[in-house]
Amino acid sequence: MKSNSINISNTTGTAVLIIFFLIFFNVNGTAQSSTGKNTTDVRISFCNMIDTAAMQLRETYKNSFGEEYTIRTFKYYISNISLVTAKSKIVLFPGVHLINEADSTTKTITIKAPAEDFTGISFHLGPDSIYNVSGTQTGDLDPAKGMFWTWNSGYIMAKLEATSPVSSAVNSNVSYHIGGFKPGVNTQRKITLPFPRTLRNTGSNEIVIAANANKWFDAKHTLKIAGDAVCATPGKLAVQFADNYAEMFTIASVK
Amino acid sequence: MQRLITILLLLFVVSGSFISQAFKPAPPKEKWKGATPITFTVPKGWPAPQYNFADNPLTKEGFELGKKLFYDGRLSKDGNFSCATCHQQFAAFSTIDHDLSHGFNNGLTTRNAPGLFNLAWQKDFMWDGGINHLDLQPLAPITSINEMGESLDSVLLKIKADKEYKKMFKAAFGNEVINTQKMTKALSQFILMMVSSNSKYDKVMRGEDTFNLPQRLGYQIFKTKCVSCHQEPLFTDYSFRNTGLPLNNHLKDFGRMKITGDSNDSLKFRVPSLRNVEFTFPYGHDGRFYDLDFVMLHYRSKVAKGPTTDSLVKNNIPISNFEIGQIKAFLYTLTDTSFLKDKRFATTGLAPQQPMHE
Repeated sequence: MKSNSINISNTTGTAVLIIFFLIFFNVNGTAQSSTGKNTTDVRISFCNMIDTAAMQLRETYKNSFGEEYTIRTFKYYISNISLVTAKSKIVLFPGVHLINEADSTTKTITIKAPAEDFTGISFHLGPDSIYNVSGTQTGDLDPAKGMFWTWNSGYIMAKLEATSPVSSAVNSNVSYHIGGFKPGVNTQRKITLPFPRTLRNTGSNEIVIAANANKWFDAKHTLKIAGDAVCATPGKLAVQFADNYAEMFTIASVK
Repeated sequence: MQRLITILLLLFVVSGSFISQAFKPAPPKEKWKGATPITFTVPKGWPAPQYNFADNPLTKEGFELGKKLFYDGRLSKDGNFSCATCHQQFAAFSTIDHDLSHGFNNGLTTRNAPGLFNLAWQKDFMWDGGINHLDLQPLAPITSINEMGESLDSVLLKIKADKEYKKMFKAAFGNEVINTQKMTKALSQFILMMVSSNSKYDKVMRGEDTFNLPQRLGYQIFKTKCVSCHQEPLFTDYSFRNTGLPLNNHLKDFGRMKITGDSNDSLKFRVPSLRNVEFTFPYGHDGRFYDLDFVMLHYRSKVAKGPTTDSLVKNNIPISNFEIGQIKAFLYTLTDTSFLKDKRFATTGLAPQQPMHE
């Protein structure tokens, strides 16, 4: 990303310049290169939770409707991470990351951020739509990661698999493979989280983001396991799950 | 002043749109010059291909790697099913004489294996168009439990363990990194070269040959009764249509609707190319028509009228027995013998690779 630079001729009044910069930086913000000088590593850790408990695969939990489920898979893509500076600039970090509860090495993303003060973070759950239409991808987007529908090209943005006594599916399975990128069935969601306090980036900083899986069932929409134990295609149900998982993130700590 | 502020406001809106613009995937940085380029020739009078060759430049080494993969049974779980198992060259890369094809663990496909040729001109794949890029197409049969039944991870493990493959990936792409992307790009390179454009029909169009009387009459009938969907020169318009085939009660396959979720697409399937149609029997998405006569009889009197039945066929197509004979005479001129026997696409004649022992 190139820094935006705007030249304004001498004939422009100073007042306009001031108004312009106020608008430009304080309201809208500007993109800034994340690869410049004076950067330090910032770790962004995702801590998957069931309400207030740290998620343990193969453990049995209850959602807010009292439905029991034994979770075995919890994965999602994080992309377009950006930090918001105290001056309302937006610093973007390209890349798509697959967070997989079963693999602790995937749960921390390290970015190189400029030594500034930051007041918040935003990111997308799910890769951008362009990746769904550009052939075979590599890295975390390699279809071998099991997050790609081969029969109806497109990424699974997030996956939650479990068993539940209230599931009506075979083997009491609960299988939520949430995807869809076309207009009307898009399941990519932007998440914006202000920090509880300003993060002064002086090196060795960490942002811990909690992801509460129970929000999948109970947030904007009420989605009971007894009602729908399986979601494996793009469509209305997938969009409802996407609305719900967009609400699962909170800032646990900034240090 | 007011105007200037407006302009500046507009400016920041525009710059804002740049900020929110999604990152595009990095263009391939394959500056590997060690491989021998292959030129892809578009036959005269044909449209521009859909495939973006700039993303996957064709090379002799990439083609040879793709060919090895295409004929390698290890891409399946038990080692028995290569791409070529269902896509046989002598049948224009369809499965000869099979409505459905055999797969892993006595599985059976749910659709008829189409011939593979001229895929550079196709923008989405499968009878329902669900796959949006040629490079992604092989992933479906490889991972389908009733076809090759293998996981991509296992395929990559088997390939990585093979010294010959290591050499071939390096020759094709400049390094030994083996991943899904490189595997599928190599397969695409092999498949993209399968261009069928040298049938008698093509020779006639190029002025190198002439139709005999039945062929000429058949071509005239074809141009009044069939060409709306089977457009020259590729003999398909790539659309999805309900041609009045009643729902198959065993397969319960609603075609395009499965992809779009739109009931207006119920029972719609891709219009297939008629090139090499002499060897791609049986016909139809589920192979229900054993030969061309059954297809003609269907259009003459058996079209099922439903809410999505195509307007071009819903009142049947009047075709006399005489005309059927002429149309068939014409359709057989679409057989491209030089393609069916092209040694570049043939297996080297060795026995299929033995499955790896894990």
